[in-house]
Amino acid sequence: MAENDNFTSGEAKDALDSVRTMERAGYRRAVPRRWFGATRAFLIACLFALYALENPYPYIVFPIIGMGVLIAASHENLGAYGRDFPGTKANRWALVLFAAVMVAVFFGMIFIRRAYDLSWVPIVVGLLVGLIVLVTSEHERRAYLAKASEGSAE
Amino acid sequence: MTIAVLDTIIHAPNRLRICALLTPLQEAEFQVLRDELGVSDSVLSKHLKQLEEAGYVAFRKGAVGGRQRMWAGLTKSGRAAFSGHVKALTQLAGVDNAPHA
Repeated sequence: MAENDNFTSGEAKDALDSVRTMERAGYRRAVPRRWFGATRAFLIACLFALYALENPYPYIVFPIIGMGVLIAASHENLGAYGRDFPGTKANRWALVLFAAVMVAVFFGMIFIRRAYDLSWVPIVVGLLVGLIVLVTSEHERRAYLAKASEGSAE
Repeated sequence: MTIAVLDTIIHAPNRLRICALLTPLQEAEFQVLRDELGVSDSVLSKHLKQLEEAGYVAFRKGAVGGRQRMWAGLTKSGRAAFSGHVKALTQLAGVDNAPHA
């Protein structure tokens, strides 16, 4: 451990400024691209909409593989990726709640499709979920941009 | 109030900047780190090696189109050490608005 006594208050402030600058640079590097959000929304919409088919199971693997390829492509494109959804604890809880609601909607949709033989339900649900994911992706993007510019006007 | 102590490994300006850049990230590519720091490959390698030896940074190698690419990320102990270092800097500077670390 270094001796704190040899370090002046001014030097510590300079070091903290440097830390803030680099943290902002980190967030700036991790800002997800719009195409990433749009493609993610499309793939998730497809995952839901596939249940309009009588037997969707042979095709489900495609959006899942597509999601893996998309995430890998995004990471390679950016050269960096964030730890988690930036922001407050409330944001993270909202994300957990969102995931739980999506799971409930997914199984609810499958139940309605099978019980009432309504093949249009998965398509409508897919469109709605895709739209929600698109809006959430934009919110995520803005959260990163806000972090990247936080305090930059100081 | 407990007095936080500066970490000698992180104390060097370039290593401090590497840790700060990696804080909001899971991983960053070597090239990204080099560009953001504005240092040469050899200088960055030297600092990353020191951070790795201290157990603060972990590497992962990946190949894209036949090209080797190296990714670096802070380890759990690296995050804890950086957080402690920033706390010490904040105390020394006597400021309230510490960075997120």
